[in-house]
Amino acid sequence: MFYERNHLKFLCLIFLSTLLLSACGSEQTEPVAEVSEEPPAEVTIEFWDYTNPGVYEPWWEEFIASYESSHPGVTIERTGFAEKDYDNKLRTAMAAGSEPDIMFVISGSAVVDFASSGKIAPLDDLVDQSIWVSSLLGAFGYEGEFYAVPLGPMASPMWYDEALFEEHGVVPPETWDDLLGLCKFFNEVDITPLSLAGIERWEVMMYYDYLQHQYGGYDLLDKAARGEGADFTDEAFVKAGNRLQELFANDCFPEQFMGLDQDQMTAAFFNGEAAMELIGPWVVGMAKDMAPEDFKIRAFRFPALPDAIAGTEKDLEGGVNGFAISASCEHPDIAADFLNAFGKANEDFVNEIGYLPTIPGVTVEDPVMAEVAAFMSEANVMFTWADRRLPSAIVDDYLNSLVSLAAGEMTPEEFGLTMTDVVEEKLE
Amino acid sequence: MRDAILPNEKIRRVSKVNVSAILFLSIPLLLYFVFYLLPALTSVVLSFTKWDGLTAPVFVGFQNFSKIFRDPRFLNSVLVNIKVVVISLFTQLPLALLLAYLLVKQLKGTAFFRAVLFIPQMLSLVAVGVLWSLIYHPTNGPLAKIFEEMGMESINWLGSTSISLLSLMVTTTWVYFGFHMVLQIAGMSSIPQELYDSAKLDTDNSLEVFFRVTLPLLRETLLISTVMIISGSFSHLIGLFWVMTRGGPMQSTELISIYIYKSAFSAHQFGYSSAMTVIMVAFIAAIVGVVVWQFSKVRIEF
Repeated sequence: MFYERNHLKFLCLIFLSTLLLSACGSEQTEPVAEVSEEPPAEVTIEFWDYTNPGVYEPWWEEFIASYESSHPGVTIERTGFAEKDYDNKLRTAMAAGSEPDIMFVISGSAVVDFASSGKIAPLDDLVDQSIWVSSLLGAFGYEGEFYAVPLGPMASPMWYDEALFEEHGVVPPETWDDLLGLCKFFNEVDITPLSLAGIERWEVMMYYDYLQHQYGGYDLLDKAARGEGADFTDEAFVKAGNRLQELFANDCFPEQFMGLDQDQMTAAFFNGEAAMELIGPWVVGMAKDMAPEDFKIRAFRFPALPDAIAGTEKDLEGGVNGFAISASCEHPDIAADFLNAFGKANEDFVNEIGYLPTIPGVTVEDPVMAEVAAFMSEANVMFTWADRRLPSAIVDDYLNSLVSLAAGEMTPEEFGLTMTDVVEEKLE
Repeated sequence: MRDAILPNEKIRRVSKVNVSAILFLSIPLLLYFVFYLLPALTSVVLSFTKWDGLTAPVFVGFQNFSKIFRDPRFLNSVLVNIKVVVISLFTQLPLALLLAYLLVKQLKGTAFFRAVLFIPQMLSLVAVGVLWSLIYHPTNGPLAKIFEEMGMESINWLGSTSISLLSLMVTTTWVYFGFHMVLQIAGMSSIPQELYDSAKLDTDNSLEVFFRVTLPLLRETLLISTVMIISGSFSHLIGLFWVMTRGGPMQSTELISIYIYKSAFSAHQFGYSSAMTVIMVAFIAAIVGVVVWQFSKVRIEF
């Protein structure tokens, strides 16, 4: 009996130990390609992307399947992540050295961070540059080289409810005064002119992005963010702040916007509570999925300010989504070839998924997106949204300060001083 | 049990027990070390560095700590947290005590009410956050509709800097008071009936009985509740507050834990956020230490 008890304890211990060890061993490790004298027989490329609703996922499955069948021995393992999880998962993987071979990135400071810390590879000599529109490659530039290929430009014009506008016999505004007049009109008929949310804060930022671009031009924000040659007390920022507050003073936005989030903002636009919205082009896909049958969405350019810098009123804001190749990828040539193939398939991608084109000569079938593509070609510049463009250390403070500005808790001058302090404190 | 143990037997028995115990304890201890102690120690080490998660950490000594005390946003978050703790203590404890008093007797229906009031704290905080965000929706939510029916102006429950913290505290109380109620019921049930009987000889006033007999004897369960509320206000509420306001209209609901999270995962300043975590833990330890010390000073004997 003495012997049996010990025996039992010993077995328990073995059992618990194996449980523990198996839990340790279940981590996904980076597959290592076989090393041999001849070209590698089996190559696996790990590919991380956002997951998107609708036909996005099936399109990728089909594309990868066809690539794999025409490239025997190559396996592309794609994983789709929810947007809010992706950033942290990628950075954690990078810190652990287990980042994927191909990764989704958005143009801006993240790409600069990854490039400057050597985590992603310059693609000038890897991919076939001639495939894509060169300005989109330029969006991923760092020190003269580019570090990702475009998946889709997220050009963010303003959007209006065409059916609602027709019903009331109005047209989208072209100038700032047009906009204020239109806001007054919609308030009189009890419709919120511009839908807005405050919880994520980028909704307010998108308005300010256009305003400070029209007053400051392309470089100002970057210079102010680096504290080199300009800072946030520059007159352009103050004028932009005044214009933003002017919109609030004219009741252009819903009074309760602070407690609303992006889904509620878009819902108000879709169900006719609000007439216009400023948001990225994904709203077109959302409208197809969620808006009522008779909802017709159309784009219009952000209105031109009377005292804007010439030429800036045609510019659009928006980041560019793209794919980068990890610097530690074992088969960068194969990863690059896959990206080349993806680039060449852009026309099909555009018309199936509803993204904007990344290669020249694409005919966009969807009329709404075709209009946005036309805006893009008329623009001098597409400037990335501030929350992706600014160094991540100051983004939060920038957004908070903008919201305070919007709520009237801060004057544009105070905004300038606060942000200048933040740049000094957080980016030394 | 035998009184006399032969020398050999004693040695054999002791050494046998030790080895088994150690082996069995080693696994949970290992897990504890890897998943609790090691990250905590790493956090302390990181608090003396500047690290963005991509490049190598840079040693900066006490710079993070000195920056924190000059950071108006951190000081704001401490204030918000203190407000949360104070409001929590003054709403959850009285409510828990009141309901415990009403439901401590084993009458018909009390079991049902106890269960129903306990359920909210079993729900996922994220689910609670989404649910209450819908309730608080300024135009389409049920509260807004009620106000509309009554002809009153709708209140921006989560979007107004003055009341969004209070709205969140209502939700927090809804989640947790059932738990504290159950704790106090357990405490009350262990008070011997003789004390009540002898108290009845002295006074008929049930309020007096409550304050002079029940409450002092609930000292231990009240201490547990207080400590849980204090430490929970710093650590648990991030899930709820994040989902509902993300730190709220202009940082009016930004807890220390939310600022830490933002500093780490959107500003990518891991050294700074680790330093804030160290300070927060020290703060909690200090408060809890003071509370426990005060509670232990009072000795109740009947």
